[in-house]
This record gives sequence, C-alpha cells and structure tokens, in this order.
Amino acid sequence: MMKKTLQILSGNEALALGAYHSGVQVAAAYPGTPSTEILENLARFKDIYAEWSTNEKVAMEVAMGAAYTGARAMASMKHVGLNVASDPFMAASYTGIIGGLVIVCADDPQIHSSQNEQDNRHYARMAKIPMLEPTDSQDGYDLMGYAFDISEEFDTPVLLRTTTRISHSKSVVDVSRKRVVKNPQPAFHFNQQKYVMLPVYALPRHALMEKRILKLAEYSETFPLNQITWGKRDLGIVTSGVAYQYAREVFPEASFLKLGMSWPLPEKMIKEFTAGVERLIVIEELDPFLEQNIKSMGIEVTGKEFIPLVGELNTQIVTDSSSGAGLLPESEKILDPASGLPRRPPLLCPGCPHTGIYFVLNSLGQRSKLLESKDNGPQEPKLIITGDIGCYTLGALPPLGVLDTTACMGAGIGQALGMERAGVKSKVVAIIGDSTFMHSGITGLVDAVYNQGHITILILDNRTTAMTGHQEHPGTGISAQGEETFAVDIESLVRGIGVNDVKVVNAFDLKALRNGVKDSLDRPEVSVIIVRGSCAMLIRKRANPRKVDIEKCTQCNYCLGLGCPAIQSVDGQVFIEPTLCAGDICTICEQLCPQKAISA
Amino acid sequence: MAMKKEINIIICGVGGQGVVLVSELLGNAAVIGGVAVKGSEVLGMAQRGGSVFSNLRLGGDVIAPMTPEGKCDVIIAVEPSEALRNIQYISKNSVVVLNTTTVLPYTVYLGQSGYPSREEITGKLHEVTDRVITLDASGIAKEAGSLQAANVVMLGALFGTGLMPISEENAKEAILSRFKAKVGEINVRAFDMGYETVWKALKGASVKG
Repeated sequence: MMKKTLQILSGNEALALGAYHSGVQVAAAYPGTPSTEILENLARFKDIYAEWSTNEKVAMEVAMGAAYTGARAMASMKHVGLNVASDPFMAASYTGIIGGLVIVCADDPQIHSSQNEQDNRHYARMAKIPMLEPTDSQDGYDLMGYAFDISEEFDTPVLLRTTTRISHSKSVVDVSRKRVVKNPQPAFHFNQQKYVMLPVYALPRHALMEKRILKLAEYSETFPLNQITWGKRDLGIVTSGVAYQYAREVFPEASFLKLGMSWPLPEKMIKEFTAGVERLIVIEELDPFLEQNIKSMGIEVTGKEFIPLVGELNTQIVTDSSSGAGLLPESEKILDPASGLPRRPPLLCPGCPHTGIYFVLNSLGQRSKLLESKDNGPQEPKLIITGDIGCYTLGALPPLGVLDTTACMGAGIGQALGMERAGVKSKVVAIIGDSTFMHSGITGLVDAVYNQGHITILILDNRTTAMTGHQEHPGTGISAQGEETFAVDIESLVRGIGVNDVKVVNAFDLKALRNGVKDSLDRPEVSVIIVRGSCAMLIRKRANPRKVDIEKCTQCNYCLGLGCPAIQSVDGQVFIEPTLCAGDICTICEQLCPQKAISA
Repeated sequence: MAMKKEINIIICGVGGQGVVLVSELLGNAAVIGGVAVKGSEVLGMAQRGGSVFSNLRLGGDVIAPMTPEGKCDVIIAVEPSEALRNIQYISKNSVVVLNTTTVLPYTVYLGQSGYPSREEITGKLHEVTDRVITLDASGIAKEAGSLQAANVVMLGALFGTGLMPISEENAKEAILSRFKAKVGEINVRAFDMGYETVWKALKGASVKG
C-alpha cells in the first residue's frame, strides 16, 4: 500500500509545496506558461501572503523587499518574465538578502507556449548567483528546501530553473517535511551600504559578489544533489534537469554526473569524474552552457556537436544523435508521424469577446485579400495591426489573420508609434489585452500621448488573464487569494494619462465596434477603444444557441470567416453546433449574416 | 544491470474530451496501487479545439517523463484520428483503442483539409499492429448515465486490455475519490462497461501474450 506522504505531483505543484514547507512567507508572480501553477498552488495556503503582481519586475521587487526584512520570499515567472524582472534581479544579487529569496524561472524549450526558447541558465552566470535545476518533481520539492538555506547562508538570491517538461510532468513525491517558519516576525534593519546601490556602495558589493561566487563554488563540491553515479567507465555523461532523465534512459549503463546545482560548477568534482571515464560528454537542452563552462576548465568534452541546439530533447532525439556520433549502434527505424492529417490550429473559443472586433479589423483592413495574394512583391497592409501576447494573439491565424506583429508583452503600442513616426502611409492600430495592458502597456501609452502619436489602441478587456488559465489581475477586483480588493479602472487610468478620445464599446456589438474603429482611425490623436466583454470561459450560462435557417442560407460562408468553433459545415451546408454555441451572450454570427438566416 | 520494463500509455484526443482527467485518474490509481508513475502532457491549446496528448509510464525503473517513439504499449484515442497523429509511438505489439466519435477540425469546414475515414484510420494502424479495437465510447457513456463519461469509458477500456500493472479496484477508488457520490457511480459504471467491451473484444486475440 502507498505511504501516506506519497503524492503524484506536477513539478510546479512540488515546487509550491516545497516552498510552503520551507517556510515561504511572501510569494509573488505574474502568470506565464509553464510557471503559472506555482503561485496558484501557493495562493491556496492562507497562512502565507501570495499575490499576482502587475508584472514580473514588480513580483521580483515585492519578493526582494520581503527578503530584506528577514522573511522567506519567492518570485516565480516564465523564462521571458525574467527579462522583464532582470533589473531588480541584478540588483538583488548586488544587495543580497536577509530572509531566503528564491526566484523560480520556468524555461520553455520547444516554444510550446512562448515567443522564444531562450536559455535562462545564462542569467545565473551573469548575476553571479547559484542556480538549482530539478530533474523531476521530487527534486523540485527537495531543492526548494536547499534553495532557501543556500540563499540565507550565502546572502544571495537563488535561481531555481525548471523547464516545461519538469513543470508540467508528474511523478510521485515523498512530501514528508513539515512547514517551519524561521523568522515569524520580520523586521528591516538600517544598512545603507547593503541596500542603497549608489556607486559608492555598489562597487564594494560587487567585490563581495565575486567572493561569494567562489565560496558557492566550494560549496557546490559537496552539494548533496550534485551526484556521481559510477557505471561503465568508457562513457561519462554530465547533465542536469530533464536532460538527465533522457540521458539515463538512453545510457542506462554509463557513468553519470548529475548536477542539481548547475551554477557555479563543482570544478574538482567534474575533474574527478573526467579522470574516471574514457570519454566525457554533456547532454543538455538548448545552449552548450555546461559544455562551454567545462571546456573553460581545460577539460576535453563534447556535446553540441551532436546534441541539437534547437528545441527540447527527448529519449528518441538523444538516441538518434548519439548514434550519429558513434556512441550507440544504429538505432531502430521508427515510424514517421502520419502525414496528411488535418491540422488542429488553435481557435478563439465560441463566444470569445475578441471574435467580433477581429472580424471588424479583418474586413476594414481587407485582411483576407492580404492573406490570399501571393505574388505582387511586398505589400503594406491597408491597416497595420501591431499585436501583443495573450489569447488574442491567436487572431493572427486564419481565418481572421489580423496581426502584423507579436514580440513580447506590451510591445505593440511602442511598435505602433514607431511605425507611424517612421512615416508609413497606412493607419496603425495596436492591440493589447487588459492584463497585458496592466503588465507593460501603460508606459507605452504614456509615451504615445507624450509624443503626440496618432495611433489607435484597442484594449481588449475580457476581465481576466485568459491565456494562462484565468488568473486575476489589477483590473478584476479579486486578489490571488480570492479576496475582494480595489479594482484599477482602465478607463480612468487611460483618461488620467491624457487620452482625450476614450471609447468603451461592447465586444458583442458589431456595428458599434465598426463605427468606433472607423471614428478612431480618422482622429489626429491617440485614441483608445476599450473593447469590453467577459471571457466566454468565465460564463457558465449558455442560453439559446443560434440556428441556421437552411431555407434562407445561401451558403455564402461569410459566417465561417469568424473562425468560431461552433459554426461548422458538412457537405457545403453551414450549421451551428448547439453544444458549443455560446448563445445569447454572443450573437456575432447573427449580426453579420447578410441573409438574416441565423437566429435563436 | 537489467531494468524493469515499464508500461507506456498514451491518451490522446482533442481539447474538451477529458484526456487530462483520464490521465489524472490513472496517475492517482497508480499511486493508490503503489506503482511507480511518471508522465507528462502536451496540452496544446486544450480549451480551444487543439490536439491533446498525455502519456503515463507505469512501473519502470529510471525513466523519463516522455514515452520514446516506438515504445508505447497502449494508445487510448478518445478521438480516432488523433491515434494516427501519434502513430510513431506504437510498434507491432502495441494495443490501440479507438473511440468512434470524431471531432472535425475547423480546417475541414473551410475545405482546407480532408479528414480520414474510419477505414483509413484503422487501416493505417493495422499496418503496424493487429491489436486495434474500436468502441463507441460516447454511446456506452450515454448508456451508463452521462455522455460526459466517454473519457472514463476509455479508461475502463484501457484496463480491459489486461495490460495494466494496477488493479481495477485501484482505478475505481481513484474515480470515487475524484467525483461526488452520484457522478462517481455513473463513472464507475462507465468504467466497467468500457472494461467489459474491450475485455470481450480481446478474448481469443491473446493480447496478453
């Protein structure tokens, strides 16, 4: 029978429980796949403070402030979130902490749900702080305990780096620890040399950081989760994170050096390991981080000559690339994935409040023509639409096809102003969601007002952070821990910045949307349209699904242009799937049908 | 050193079919039964009609959270064409269980792609393995008391293959602790009916061999 303390946990659940048992008192995060569930799970514990922060930078600052008082604190984010938080992240390395400060970043090799697959291990080296990498959920739970201890012992923030495959994989964890809070009454102690990073104080702190990383390197030699497992001596593999699991499965008999702490590296241990094997290789995902740092110790090692740099690894890839390098016999022929299967591109949901405005932009911008024309050389869209990051990014795909750019959170507004100021002939519209606007759209809007842009900004306000699974944000009036709180009003905020033309339009009123956009495009000023309608996933009530009157329908297929999953077509006849249709809350298809063939 | 052979299971379908729930129930059943388990999911755009893939690896020694290609023992396809999307994971000894209910992608409505017929799907799978079982999980679920239980019918079907290193009782315990009383009963019934269907279909087909 199962042991009472055994649970099947995802990596993120294990990290949250590990942090809770380690006595974390303050946790802050901005949602981002694959990191979101860490704070979601922590927020359920009512004896800690957990918040959704406006963005990752603020989350880092909140955690940093808490750590200055001796509380144990944590900030969690996706890999690109650490870009946003990198300024206070670097500062925290300089100042150090009092209470343990752990920063969890979840990288996304393979770009399952991100805009890039940057390797955040470089951040640990740049900031000169220790980095821990779990290989499964148990490691995540255990490493969290070490992370807080190391942080306090060495006066440093600790980076705990996971990847999608660690965060979202499940395995059995022995959760035997009990929560212990080391410092139940936090207090801040005056110490300008430590906390005020004026040049006069910052330079001595840098010197301390250099001493600290040397001490940490010494510590890493005996760190319990840096482990050598001797197998056959003809091949030695250095690895960390999920790559360890793949490598272990492909080379069950090889010798292994598994690095639970992958920065700074245990040089003596690596040299001992190297001396014990005939050939040394590194198996790691993304960049040759371990490999290059081991090479710089003067050790002969290979890795990225045969292990791919791009995308995530898996057992098959490690097998095939190792065969190619002569480390394994030729691998068995594996079936190719079936070809010719219909793709299942992600769509906006039935009843999505983005569908209506996107249909309007598609038709005003003549986007379908743009998508269809293949020759004629480069063409400037009639309406340039700069995008942002959220569910609404899916509008870039057919049949709506309404985005021209997507870079990172908040980028669309600045890009729109830049295009306009560069002198493009077309009108420029920026699209941003409510949560993303709070995250990093506000400063872009201030810039556009200050610099007298003529752009139109659409804030798609669906009252939630939808893409990551419906988290609260500063505009919703509910805290991460489920309590009612102050709701920042987007309209007042925008007016307060100085935008004169602010319209609030119902996301399900096609005519109002069309008139609103046309009006804004003609204005020689910054114009903001708040397109408001709740995310359909938050509305349980589904009354009166729409139907197609086959007598009236001329099969113009205009409604299929919405890309609504409820609107389907069999043998050329359009129909609406009643179990999917959102009914009364939406009615967009009913409004646009030229034949008035759609009704309740 | 000899490694203990694990059982690799892939559950696939499209968003909204309850693939993740089946995977959760199976994972919990393994923990209840004291069987080592690792697994991971590719959710795609789960709520948005995308493909959903979940894999669980039961009872092995040191294993990665992802089943290697060619090493899957059982594929449970809650949507039949999704079995083809994951055909590279199976080999000649694999068992494939298909639900008959199709979910057509939007690209088919727009005339941009076709959708394989049931014969094409089973035909391609038969080129790899002769252990392909088809069942009407939605119909069975309806009979059990709820259309929504089609995914749990497929879980029962998985156990009906006789390949699970976990007992049916462990699975039912996981089901009953996940759902409230009445819904739990319906789901246990759905599980049993899925189990029976596959068990009978495989009789004489020597799947265990």
